[in-house]
Amino acid sequence: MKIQLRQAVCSLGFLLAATSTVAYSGDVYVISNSSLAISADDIKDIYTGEKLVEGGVKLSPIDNNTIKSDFLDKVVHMAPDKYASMWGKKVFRDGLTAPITKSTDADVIALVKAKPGNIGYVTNPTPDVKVIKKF
Amino acid sequence: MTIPSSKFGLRFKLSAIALAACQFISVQAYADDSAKTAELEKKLDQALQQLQVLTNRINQLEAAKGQPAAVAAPAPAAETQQKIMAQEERIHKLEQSVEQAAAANADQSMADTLVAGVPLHGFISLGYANLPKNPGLPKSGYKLDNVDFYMTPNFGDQLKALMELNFEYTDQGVLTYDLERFEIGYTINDLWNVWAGRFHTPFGEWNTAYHHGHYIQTSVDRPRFIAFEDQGGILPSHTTGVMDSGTFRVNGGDRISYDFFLGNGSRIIPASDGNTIGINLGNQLEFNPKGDDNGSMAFGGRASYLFGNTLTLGVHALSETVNTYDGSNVVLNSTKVKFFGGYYFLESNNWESIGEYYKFRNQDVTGPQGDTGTHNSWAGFAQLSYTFDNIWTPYVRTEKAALDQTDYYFSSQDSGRSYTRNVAGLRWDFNKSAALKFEFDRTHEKELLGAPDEDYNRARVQLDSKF
Repeated sequence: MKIQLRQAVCSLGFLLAATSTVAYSGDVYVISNSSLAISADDIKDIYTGEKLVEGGVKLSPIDNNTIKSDFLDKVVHMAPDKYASMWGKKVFRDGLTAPITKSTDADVIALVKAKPGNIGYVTNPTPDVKVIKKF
Repeated sequence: MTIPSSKFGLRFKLSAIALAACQFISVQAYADDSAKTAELEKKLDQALQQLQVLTNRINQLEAAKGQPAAVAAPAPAAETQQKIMAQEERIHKLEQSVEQAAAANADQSMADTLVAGVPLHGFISLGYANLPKNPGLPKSGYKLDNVDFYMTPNFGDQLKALMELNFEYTDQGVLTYDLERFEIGYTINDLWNVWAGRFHTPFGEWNTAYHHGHYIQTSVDRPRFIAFEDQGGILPSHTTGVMDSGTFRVNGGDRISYDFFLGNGSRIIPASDGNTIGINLGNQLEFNPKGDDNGSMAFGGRASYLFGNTLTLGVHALSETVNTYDGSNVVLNSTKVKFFGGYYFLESNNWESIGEYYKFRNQDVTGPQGDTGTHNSWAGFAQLSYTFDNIWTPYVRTEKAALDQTDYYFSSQDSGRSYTRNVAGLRWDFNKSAALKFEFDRTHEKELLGAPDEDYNRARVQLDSKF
């Protein structure tokens, strides 16, 4: 058991020493306010500022910092740096508002529930939000 | 073989700490504030120390029991159990602390500077230029270029606004300021985004992609003929009026976009520094912010097709009537300006290329020689760059304008001469918010009829940053 513990501690040390981004590798659920009717095909367009409105409702994407890298990789197919740069240009060029960033599932879910046009992504959705697609 | 639940919980907590710490490290990459980063690093060090203390404590407990931990152990004494619970409590607090630090760091990285509740962003540009000794060109030396502020108020619904306020020094050393963009928009749906105010005229790619933000364009400057009106450009870069933009997806990942505008046409006037010190800035296009001087509205637009988020191909056109005035506001000539052409923008892996072409068919309306008919001219450029390691970006550009000097529209503008220019440069993104650009260019310029052509070289270093 000592050996196992030491191995675990060494592994932890290695992980802590590594400064590369640690990606979440589980499922990512894209969620929206229950009243919003958007399809899975719209998700990438919404997160790249190409789709702004649905049914007269302004769409507001929310980033979840805990799983952002994984979401961008799986859904938007873009590196975080590129994503940040893209939004910087979108704001400057088109007067758009960049996605709000939250740090936990609970924060994202609370924001999604608060406004009809909000969409976000989490690791564990709650029943009171609509799951658009699991990635 | 069983593992004491308390130890299992302890290991789980250790893992959670490690993951939280790793998350903390990954989130740290987004922080710009060095002080904040240093503080978080300190907390991480403390977390590591705590981890080491807890590991040592586990080893001591195991040693005290004198048997491998994997073997089922008798129930721990009450005192030991209390210590373990205390350790777990400390770990829990530590875990919370790390999570809070990571969350705070994430929030900090996204924080904006607010002015009256509105995020304020902008660009700063300055540098050094080694220029030829020519009375008609700026002097060599250090240069303050511009500070460009922009704000995008968030109204919470489909209403939006954009304001870009630019302070810059002209080649004559005069500080000027201007509301470069001042527009209010409403998004009806993705096909109908209506804007009103002063905007950058939608032609080509460059004019609406980079605006006055030197930092976000690869090179030091725009191609000369699409420079802004007060910097040697020969096209109406700004328009006051209304514009509609839209986009829709086709063929899965492709996209069609369009912009159409209607607004005041421009005029050509002898620009000055506002008579503050009486410096003549030469004949320039002026965008008529308070009504069209000749009642002939400008209109035009562009349409583009984006192939798989990589290659954009587009066409553009514009029509307006431009009068030239002398210092006494007397009309010297009038030209019906028409151009059409195409453009492309390629962004693939680390390659980026942009090119635009303009074909002019300008018709003189009035002038010293009366109606001299239709004049054909053209201008174009192409730029190519490749980025290594997200830091080093060498680039080259070639540009050419073949402008008919019997065309009043071009001959009336100080910068309306034909020219060719070849540019080579290196962009160094030494910081996430700043870049140094080293650029060399060679220009061959044809002067007005009868004057000798001119060749000159320029070497420039420019520091561009964003905030």
